[in-house]
Amino acid sequence: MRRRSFRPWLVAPAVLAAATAFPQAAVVTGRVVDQASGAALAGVRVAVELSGSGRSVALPAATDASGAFTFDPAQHFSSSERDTEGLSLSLSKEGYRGLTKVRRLPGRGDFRVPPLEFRLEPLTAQPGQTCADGGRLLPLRSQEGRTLFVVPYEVGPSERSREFNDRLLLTLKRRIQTHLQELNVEAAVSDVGLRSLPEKLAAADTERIRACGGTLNALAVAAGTVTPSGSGAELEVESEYVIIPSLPSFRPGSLSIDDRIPLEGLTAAQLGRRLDTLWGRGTLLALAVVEARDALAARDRPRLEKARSWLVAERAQTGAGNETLMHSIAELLRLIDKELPQ
Amino acid sequence: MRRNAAWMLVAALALPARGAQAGDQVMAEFKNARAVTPEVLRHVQNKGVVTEFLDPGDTGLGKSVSYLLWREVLTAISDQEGAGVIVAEAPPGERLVDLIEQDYHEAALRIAAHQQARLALWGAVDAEGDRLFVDTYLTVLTGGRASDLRLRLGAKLLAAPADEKSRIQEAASVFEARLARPRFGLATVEVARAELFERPLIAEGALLVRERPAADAPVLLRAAAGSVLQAVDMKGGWFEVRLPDRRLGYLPAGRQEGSRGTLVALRVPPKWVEANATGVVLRGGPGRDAPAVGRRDLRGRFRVLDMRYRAAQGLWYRIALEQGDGWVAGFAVRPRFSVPAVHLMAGLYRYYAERFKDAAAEFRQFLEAPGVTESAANRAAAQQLLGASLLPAGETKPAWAAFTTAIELTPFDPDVYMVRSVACVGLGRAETALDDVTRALELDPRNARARAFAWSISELAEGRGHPLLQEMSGLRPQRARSSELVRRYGITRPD
Repeated sequence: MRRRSFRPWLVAPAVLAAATAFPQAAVVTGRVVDQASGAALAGVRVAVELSGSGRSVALPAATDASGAFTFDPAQHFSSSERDTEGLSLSLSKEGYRGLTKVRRLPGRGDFRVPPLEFRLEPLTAQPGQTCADGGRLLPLRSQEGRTLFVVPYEVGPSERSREFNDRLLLTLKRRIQTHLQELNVEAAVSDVGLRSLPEKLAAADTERIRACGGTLNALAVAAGTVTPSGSGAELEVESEYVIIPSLPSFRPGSLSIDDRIPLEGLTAAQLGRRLDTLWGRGTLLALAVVEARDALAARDRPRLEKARSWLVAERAQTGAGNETLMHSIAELLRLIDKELPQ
Repeated sequence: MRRNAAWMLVAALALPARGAQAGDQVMAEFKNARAVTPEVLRHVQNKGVVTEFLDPGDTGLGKSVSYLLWREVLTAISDQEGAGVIVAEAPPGERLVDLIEQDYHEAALRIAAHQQARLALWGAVDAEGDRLFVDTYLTVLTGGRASDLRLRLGAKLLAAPADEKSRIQEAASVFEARLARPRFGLATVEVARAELFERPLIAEGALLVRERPAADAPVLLRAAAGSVLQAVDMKGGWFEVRLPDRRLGYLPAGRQEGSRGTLVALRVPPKWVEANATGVVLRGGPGRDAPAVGRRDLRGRFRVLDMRYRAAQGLWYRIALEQGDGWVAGFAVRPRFSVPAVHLMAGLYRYYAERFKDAAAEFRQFLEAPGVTESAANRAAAQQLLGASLLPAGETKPAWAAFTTAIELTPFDPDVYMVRSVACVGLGRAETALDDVTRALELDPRNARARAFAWSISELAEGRGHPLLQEMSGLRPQRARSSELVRRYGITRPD
């Protein structure tokens, strides 16, 4: 995800007008490219879920040679299901990390969204980027690897942004920790730290986030941008959640949310409510990866069983859909089960 | 000998404690993780706690919301003997959000455990302009005097010798499943401030309305017992009421000021009641002895103007109609409380007291809360609790539907299949019992409960269980399937 340095209060009306040129057809289109090379990716499987529908539909056709896909919500979902505020797309392809993107619709049941763009991270790619701010970040390095670092949202003058991000982290900390407690993750582990990254560290893209997350020994790095959209009455808020730890045979995908919030309505509490479910689930998965990784290294069976129980509990709570998360949980469970005696 | 299946809660159930005080107020003290406030409502078996809500934005509403919901829970369980609710607030000058730190559910557990309570309702409140955002959490205590939420098969053999009854009970008890997890994070409720707080308050005794929300403020009005006051807002633990002369006055929501034990004699009705009934008799007063003033169909929701409790009749509501108003009996309508958590908590109180029909009504109200979309996990839990409440009431068809809906909502939860499987054994639906336990094992082959359950099923199918259970379950024809199941998963006799 490219972070745009954008200050809503400076945007000229002409730019806003240009941004309103949405396609009018109610068919959703998208294109998928390889994040490393930028090349179009054919054969990517796409699953779509409408918020509240509780079911996921795998599109019959994967992406074509130009990486494009199209779907008509009316073909796959009933009219009551289409009366929704958002859609979620989960992309998967052999050799790439999975990606889930949640997109808020311009209006309830209005699928006229601009063409969607996705960049999938190849599993085999060598790290092409390093963390440019690595030296500055080292003092923040997490010792225990249970800290979620958040690139602050720029929502106005620095004082307002600081307040906004402090409130956001407070809200999300409570939502994440209660989520973990509900899954019976013991108190010591569920005490996940949330920390702001220095403001200058802009998350250029997922690859760079991963590089800096590695330097920080982070559990996950979350990054987001706020930009004006449409008539200027709304803000587009993009948020990405990237799990940093991995295992040689398990590389978790990333989760992102694109949202639209009325210009006056962007508050930390509101944004927190929109992010908490994905971030909570992502954090559980990240903790399970850390636990499994350390347990495998130490050949510690009880710890491995503990990681397994968290994953089973998370999966039990998750309704239909949530393809990338479910796929990641299933993959990690398979790996753990292989290590545990029957 | 007659026999039938029964479903029961694994709990020592509270005995009615007649005349026990139903509500109280304590300080929630957390220093060194030790609560130092003594236990209150000591003689009440079925207790819950509502703790002061977190107020991370310093809106001043944390105490207000907790007092309001505490009062609503009191109303919701007002006809249940042996039940009580405690409100726990932060010590003066301290912020609960600082005291609780990251503990959340764990802190709620500590407060509830110290008060020997089974349930703790807590949460956080935030404000954006006139809109309030109320997050609620419900923590259910397990173990000790509290109870796990489990569905267990029981088998009643009427007119059998006591030792035989106990033998059957023991044999049936292996068929049990966890109904719901003990910690709920419920959906955020967004509500206008006025919508939350504006409502009538019923004085059950003489009340002092003061000029300011302070114990030493001048008295504006001495409200007589039975009078109705109109709350327009809350300030901390005080209701702000509009007096007939349009002035604003204040009334404590908890204890009488200066009192260490007496709660303000106040009833807080739900803001709305809902109905879908034909030919409801409207009366001119609260009670069957009041004259009937009309009969009409009631559909939709109706604003509550007054509420009275009549011994042996329960609650009566005066509701606003398109034209005028009228009194309706509580059984003809369903109260709609401010947040779904109140219904969930009230349902659990009813469930613990084995008032299954009332419990089912509350779980339905939780599931049908307007404008709130609970997570699939919360809806599935409520559906299971609904099903478990309907089974003992003999409503097997809707119970079955509720268990099935729970499966549809969380299809990757092994326990949700186990619950329906327990029901299947009791209902003699052997094939589905096996299907469900098979699915539970497919989802989690290491699930100890599912493995033990599968073993018990195979024992019955092999003809080795109690003859009554064999007959009830109808598992004998499933011998080959059950034997294949235990073989496939390497299941052996549990220790």
